[in-house]
Amino acid sequence: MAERRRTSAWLRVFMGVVFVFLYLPLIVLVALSFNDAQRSVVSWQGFSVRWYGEMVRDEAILGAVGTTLTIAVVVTVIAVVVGTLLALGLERYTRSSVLDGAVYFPILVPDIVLGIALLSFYSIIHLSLGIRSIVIAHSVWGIAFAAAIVRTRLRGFDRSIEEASLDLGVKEIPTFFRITLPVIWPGVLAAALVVFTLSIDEFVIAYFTAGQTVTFPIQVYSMIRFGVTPVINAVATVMLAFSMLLIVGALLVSRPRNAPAPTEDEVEAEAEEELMPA
Amino acid sequence: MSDDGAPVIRIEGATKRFGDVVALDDVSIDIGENEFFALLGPSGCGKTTLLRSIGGFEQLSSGRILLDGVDLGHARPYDRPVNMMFQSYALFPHMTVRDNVAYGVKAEKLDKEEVAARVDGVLRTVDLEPLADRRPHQLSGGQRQRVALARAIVKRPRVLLLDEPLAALDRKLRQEMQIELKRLQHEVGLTFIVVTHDQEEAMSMADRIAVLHAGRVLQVATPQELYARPTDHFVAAFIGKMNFLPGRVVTGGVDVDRVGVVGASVNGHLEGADVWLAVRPENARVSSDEGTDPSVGGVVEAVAFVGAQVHTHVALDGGHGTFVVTSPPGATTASAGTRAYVSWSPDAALVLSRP
Repeated sequence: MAERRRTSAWLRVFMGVVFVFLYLPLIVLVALSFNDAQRSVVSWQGFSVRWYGEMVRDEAILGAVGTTLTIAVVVTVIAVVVGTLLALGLERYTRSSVLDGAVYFPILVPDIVLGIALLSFYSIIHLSLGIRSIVIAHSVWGIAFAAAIVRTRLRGFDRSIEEASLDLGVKEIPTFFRITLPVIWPGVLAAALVVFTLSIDEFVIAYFTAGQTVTFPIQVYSMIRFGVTPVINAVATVMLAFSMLLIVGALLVSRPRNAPAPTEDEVEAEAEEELMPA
Repeated sequence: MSDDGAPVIRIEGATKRFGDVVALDDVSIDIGENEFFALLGPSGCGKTTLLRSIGGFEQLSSGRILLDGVDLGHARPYDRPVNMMFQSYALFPHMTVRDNVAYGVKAEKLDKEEVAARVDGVLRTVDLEPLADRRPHQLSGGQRQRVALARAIVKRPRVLLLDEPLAALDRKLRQEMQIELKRLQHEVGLTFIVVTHDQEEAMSMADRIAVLHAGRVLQVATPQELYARPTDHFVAAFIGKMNFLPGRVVTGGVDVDRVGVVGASVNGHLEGADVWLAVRPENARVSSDEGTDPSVGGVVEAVAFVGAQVHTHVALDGGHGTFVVTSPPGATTASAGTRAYVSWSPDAALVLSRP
């Protein structure tokens, strides 16, 4: 017994160290974003929101945020519509695991390879670089992600409910919108949130295909090149809060409605399933 | 078929091939008005394919299905006045019981009061009113089954198709629901076509039964007739218990291999033809002497009391395996290990062709 208690005590300490390692930088970041210091970012000078004020007055940052949000919204719509249809088609009409793999492959291709490939491709077809080229680039893996996430929802989907709808007098297309889509909706919404989040902070592919366009991650990158200003901390904190909000949202919507509240383990398992399909 | 005229459903030479597999092989059946008709057979016999073809979920490779004399052709499921109760029940998980039941009626573009009246009426019929606002996952298996039933009958179809309606229920509930389905069929006055692999279920519910095997219809008859006069070895073995002895037709009876000639009615069989002599356990007797009726000797293997009956297992001479005789308690004095004779009256023995 004593042996076991000692082991468990060590495990606790180890776990504590890992958590400190994981979260301390984030906590420091958030704290510094509220630090009322001019340049010496390490010493605490008192609470202030001045860096947030500077952030929202910075035209370059606001412009980049606008560009990024525009791209993310368009990419999400394209990826979710195409990805959902792709997932349905794969689930129903093919038993080819090669084709399955081919769909998910863009997720696994290193971003830098995808970036180079798309850049060469765009120059071959003479597509001018800008928001449009970034949207196409992000859609490539956005579709793959969406298809993978929706696919996990489709596993165990009972097709006889669609047949029942036809049987009860409702045609194919209304059946899709009244039966199929509502049932897989949590997966579709989770896919949308994941693709949106990924598109917002994607840097490498966007950098390759942006041309003169400045997205939010590219803007942050260029700010850092002139030294870390406290504004960066505020920007990063806002991004952190925003992405956490989206992830919690994804978890909530992917939970079956009206079901008894799932246990922590179920939420975790589902999060893994939904967020890490690859 | 009921005797009042034209069939509701006429199936003509229905054949369905999935690649090289023949799921339905030239099936022809007529089903009458208000009939409770069962398609019975082991899994893979084609019964579900036939049901799904009537519902419009499968297209026949050849043959026709007529409803009230009109060829259904390639009509889509929503263009057929038939409704199906699915084996999985196929309830819409995101809708309440009431919305599930109302779904099909709303598609008919009736006014709101009419929809509500019909839905309420059906919910009352299947006793689901108190559960109308629940969702499918909050219901028990039996309750779900009733929702599926309500959802189909609220459409007032010409024919209700039921795919293994009781398979998902436990044994006790299954027996209750057999009676319930039968009662409901009378109450709503619909033609029911039910697919089942359970011969007891088919026997206790159906007015007539079609026995299917390997895509073919072997016999279509009332439960009583199927039991008393099966026309085929498979049907005889599938419905109830049956003893079989192989032999050949001779004048006035059947020459059973290594036993001798046994009297039986051999109408319709040519002399010299290979046949099975089939005897129901309750139509045979066990005695310690040969007697006057056709009889076969053997050794009693076991005597088992099964409630109201005694099952006597006799290992027949000539290596024909075990012959089972059922009789009321006290009717037989045979005991295990003793020599005995199994006998039956000639008209109790069926002669079935043996390919």
